[in-house]
Amino acid sequence: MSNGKRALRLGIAGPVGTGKSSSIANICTALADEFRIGVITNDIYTDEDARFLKAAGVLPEERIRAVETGACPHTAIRDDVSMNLLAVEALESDFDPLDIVLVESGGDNLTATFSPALVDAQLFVLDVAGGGDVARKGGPGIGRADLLVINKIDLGPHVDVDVEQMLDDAREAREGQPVLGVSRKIPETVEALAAWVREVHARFVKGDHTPVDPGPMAPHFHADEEADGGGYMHTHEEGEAAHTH
Amino acid sequence: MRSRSALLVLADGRLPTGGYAHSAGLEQAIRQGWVNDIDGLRDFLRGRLHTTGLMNAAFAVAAWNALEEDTPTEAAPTSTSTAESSTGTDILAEAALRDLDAELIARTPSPALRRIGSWLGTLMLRSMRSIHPHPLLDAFPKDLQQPIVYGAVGRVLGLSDADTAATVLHEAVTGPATAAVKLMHIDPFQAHGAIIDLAYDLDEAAERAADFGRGDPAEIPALSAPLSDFAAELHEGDNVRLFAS
Amino acid sequence: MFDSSLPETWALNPKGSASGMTCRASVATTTDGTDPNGRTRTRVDGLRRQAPLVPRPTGASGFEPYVDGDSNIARVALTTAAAGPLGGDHYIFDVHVGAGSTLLLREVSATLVLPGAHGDPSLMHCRVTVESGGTLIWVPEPVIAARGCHHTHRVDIDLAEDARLFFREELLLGRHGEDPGSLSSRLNVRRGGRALSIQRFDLGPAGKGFDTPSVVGGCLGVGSVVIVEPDGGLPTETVIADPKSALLPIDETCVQVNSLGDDGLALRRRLDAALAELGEPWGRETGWSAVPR
Repeated sequence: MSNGKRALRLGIAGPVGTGKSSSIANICTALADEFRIGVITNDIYTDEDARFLKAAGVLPEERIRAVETGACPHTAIRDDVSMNLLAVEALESDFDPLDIVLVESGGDNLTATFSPALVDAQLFVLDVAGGGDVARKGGPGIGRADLLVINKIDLGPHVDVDVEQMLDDAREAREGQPVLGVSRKIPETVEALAAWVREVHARFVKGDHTPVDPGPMAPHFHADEEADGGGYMHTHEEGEAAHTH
Repeated sequence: MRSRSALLVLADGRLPTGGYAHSAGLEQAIRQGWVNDIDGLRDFLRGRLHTTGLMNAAFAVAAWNALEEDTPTEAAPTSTSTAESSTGTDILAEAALRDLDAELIARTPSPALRRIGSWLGTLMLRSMRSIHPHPLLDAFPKDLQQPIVYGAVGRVLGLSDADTAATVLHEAVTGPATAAVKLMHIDPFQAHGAIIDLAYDLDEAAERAADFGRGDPAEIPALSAPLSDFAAELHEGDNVRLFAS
Repeated sequence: MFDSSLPETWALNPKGSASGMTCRASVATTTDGTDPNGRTRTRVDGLRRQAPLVPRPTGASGFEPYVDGDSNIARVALTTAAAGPLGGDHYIFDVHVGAGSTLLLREVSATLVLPGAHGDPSLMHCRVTVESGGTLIWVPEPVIAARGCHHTHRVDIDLAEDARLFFREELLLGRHGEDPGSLSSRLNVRRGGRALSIQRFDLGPAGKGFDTPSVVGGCLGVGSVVIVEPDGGLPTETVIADPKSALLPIDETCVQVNSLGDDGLALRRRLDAALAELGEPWGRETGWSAVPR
């Protein structure tokens, strides 16, 4: 797959409100002069994230497209990637050549990760405000995404989170895989994020990059689904029949 | 028994072809107050299957019949270049498929539904090319309406035309019934109960669709459903929505 | 789905059924020189009557879509001289609009479809050709499906590539307070032999699922307008003024209006409003109706 003939497809996952859209805005702002970038957003409600990015003015509007995921953003990046895949291919074909296509997952939960059928690499975004213990909890995205971003590190003192401890916990959970603390208010952290993207792109172009599947979802809880007890634990393991999105 | 197993795969809502993001107008029908409860859902599904569902199924049958009798059901090895002349466009009868598409479009007055039909057709073709590589699918024209693609997929998977029709009808009701659980105060047992209640109607409609689809395509009944057309158009204008349609 | 007891190809059998009457009428127009301003005149070139279908030339009245008050065109009103069609009846009405000519076709009264003595299906089949440069403006009165009827109303319109069309239909499910009969209304508009706008409403007891929230719900009035304007200038985006009425672009030279109403009056108001929104020459704000009476 990584033959450099098409754009590098980079997925951005992570829970609601951790700053996936702003991470994309950061990457685009830092790299817009170096790379031809396109963005696909996956929203839960219509095209809010696409509108945010268009309003941010980080890319020409026509290179930001929204895919609606029918209230099931984790399905759109893993169980059924067809819509996103077609959207990425259409974007690549309409703006040929593109260097990087960023695919933003709809904010869902801690367990959603991208299928390697859709992206070449993925970063997972947590934020300090979500609680210092989140990184320690692990899961496929936190543990095995190509990069873990701990966002909004400037907020640590305001939410009683020891940022350094959180970063250490994350590094431990990831067994040495890269972790970046980022704040859009601290320019060098944004540059470090851009540098990581630059490096992945270079590897992709050389053909040295192998997509890694962070693995299937961990068991998770759907509190919104009505059943006895007001929800249920389940996994999305292959062959599991109870959960059709 | 290959076709029976293939039928079940094609009819499975988990087949990654992008359908899960669509409620087939149900979300908007609920918003407009046209559907309020399980009885309303059952009526919605019944109306849909006897109108657009049956019509689309008839077009799938017509597409199935427009393709050659001896369309191979096994994928030809991709390395065999000598076979190219006897596969691809020869099998394709592209002009006949485009005529069918035009007949279906003339029966689909809602521009939103025409766009969605073409998008879902393209998605299904894109996915099936990956799921089951086949020269017929490789040579198949893009941007045709989904029922036309269903016809080709039915052929390639070795289904009968009537079973292909049954699959289209099945999707016509299971799509919105599954969406209903996220949109209404009903549980998944009730939603599936509604589908079972319609089993006889679905079987009968599949037989009729097969009869229509085997005849002159110009005489396939248009079976208009104005509220579905209105719902599709209203939904496009709604800023907050869970489902793409 | 409509009841299979009504053969799809019945329209092709001019003998009709045994229990009712078969009746054929036709209208043809042709150009007839020019007026002093050099504008093409149309005359009625052939008029075939067979009771109860009686087409007769008429004058201008009320607002007329596209041709409003134009003295150069042909105007014909179709009269149904008796109640009907009744069950078993088979009417054929042929319309031929010759090259460059313009015909405004109206009806004197609504068509009330009643069941016959034998409960047989009835058929009204209109076969229309509009030749190159021709214009057909057809504003029929409502078709009312009385209790127990089993009627197919089929209109096939074949347009030349540059022909112009305004066609309006209003279908009503039963007279006031009456359970409806079964009505299958089929409109096939083709241009240059290709499908352009094809609709079919299967309503009443034989129209499975018709009264559901995905089809027409509880509405008793179902209507549509198809406009084909080869010069373009029609809306290219959907106009939806009301959840039960929409103007839907088919392509750059064709739009379709679909409306529903709780009753015939509500339906007519929605269709009129959609046409008024579309504006001249197709519709106009009027006190009560844009339809010539």
